[in-house]
Amino acid sequence: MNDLIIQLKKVNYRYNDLRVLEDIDLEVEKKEFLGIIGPNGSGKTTLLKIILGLIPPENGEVFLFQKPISKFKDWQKIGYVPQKATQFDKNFPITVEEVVSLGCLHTVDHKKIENALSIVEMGKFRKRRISDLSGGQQQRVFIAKALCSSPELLVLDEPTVGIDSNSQEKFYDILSHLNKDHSITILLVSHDIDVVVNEVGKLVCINKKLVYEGQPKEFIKKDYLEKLYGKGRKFIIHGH
Amino acid sequence: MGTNILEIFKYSFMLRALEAGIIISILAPIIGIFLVSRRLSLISDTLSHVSLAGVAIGLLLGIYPVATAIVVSILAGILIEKLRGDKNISSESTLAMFLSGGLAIAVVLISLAKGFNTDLFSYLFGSITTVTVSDLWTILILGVIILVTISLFYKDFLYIAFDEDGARVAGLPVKFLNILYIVLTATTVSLSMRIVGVLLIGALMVIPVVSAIQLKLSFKNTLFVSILISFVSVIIGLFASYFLNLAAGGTIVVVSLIIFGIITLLKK
Repeated sequence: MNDLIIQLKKVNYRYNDLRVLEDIDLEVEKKEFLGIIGPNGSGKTTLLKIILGLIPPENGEVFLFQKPISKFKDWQKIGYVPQKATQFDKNFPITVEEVVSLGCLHTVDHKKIENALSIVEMGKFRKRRISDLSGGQQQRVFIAKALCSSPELLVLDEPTVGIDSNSQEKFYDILSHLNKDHSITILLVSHDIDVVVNEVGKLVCINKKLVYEGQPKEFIKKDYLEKLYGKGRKFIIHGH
Repeated sequence: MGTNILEIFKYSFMLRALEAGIIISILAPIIGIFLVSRRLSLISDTLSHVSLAGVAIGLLLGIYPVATAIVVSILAGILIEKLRGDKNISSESTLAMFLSGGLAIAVVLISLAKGFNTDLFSYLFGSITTVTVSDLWTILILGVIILVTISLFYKDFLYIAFDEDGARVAGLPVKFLNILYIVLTATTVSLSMRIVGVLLIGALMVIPVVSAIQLKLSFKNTLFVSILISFVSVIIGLFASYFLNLAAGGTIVVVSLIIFGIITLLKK
């Protein structure tokens, strides 16, 4: 068995009477760039919350870095960019540097902060208030924050919502660089199939159950999209 | 005025009021900045009304009222924090219930025992003549404990204020920290009522912070400027209260509102 970063065995989740996730099995290996897609309400964010230990599964097992999640303590190994990262209170008085420093929680390592900001090319904005930046720039700052603790796994939930296409392109370039050159395992959740299939190394599609797991290109060839989203969906592949 | 401004320092009651006021002026915005950032400004008002019930209990039983106020507001604070996690009751309703509930209990207790209305008045609106030596010691000791605790957990509180989910994923004990924070808030509210008064302490926690936020500084510098505004408001307020014979709490809050107005005008 290779280095498993995430392992889910028969994970179920129910919200009141509504079944949200059913028998999900999932394995993420070191250095993988995995995309999780699915329609709205398919359970993507719930799955992510279970992986991050924010909610416990109804049943099933979750392992992080080969440890049962209940015994997992090395949370600094995981960098997380939440879905609503850029939807913070715009009056919150905080600078780019201060946001990034939250990522390296128990140390005030200025070198690490500078390094994380230079990876996302935001070094010159250090002293600016985060609310003064554009959505794309803010998202890069949140990645820098997630990078501050030198994580081995980066988890991103719908990171490009509300960000223009130029900034999105830049954003995916940074993720690809982190994955290839810094060997960071990436787990990206998105509803934006068109872009995701082009960027990730492995694709998982869920709709309460696991619908597809494999190469993104295979996913496009087969008729999964029609099953998931209904007939008549136009599929555009964006190239760089 | 015609009087020497230094004569204020001849009176020990005034010195005690100044010393207590300076400590409160530092504590209030430090607690307040996290409240304002989390849009929980109403918590301070709620806890101050609850602490009034604590004062009434103290006066009724003949126990040191600041102590009973601290105990009652801490207990209420913990209960509020527990209820905030309950999905069936909104945070706003919880605060409204505790705010009016605290006042209701205070009023009932006051009507049970007539005769301490004048004492109670000074707790409601603050007074410079009523700070006793034991008040000053309580404010000093607990004030230092609050400052040390906030500086130890500064980054954790900032993380939770900015991104509570993120703080959870980072492995912070968010539940414990939220309870710790509300205990610190409850204690500060109770300590402040001697000078600023129960009904006005919320204002001293919020107005200096809201004024400083307009300057668009970093979190740390916003905190320093808030403390400066609060400090200036308390000093001017206490002097004005002495020389013009005005209610201390009200004067302090009016001064802070004037500073808020000046900053708002200058920023336009």
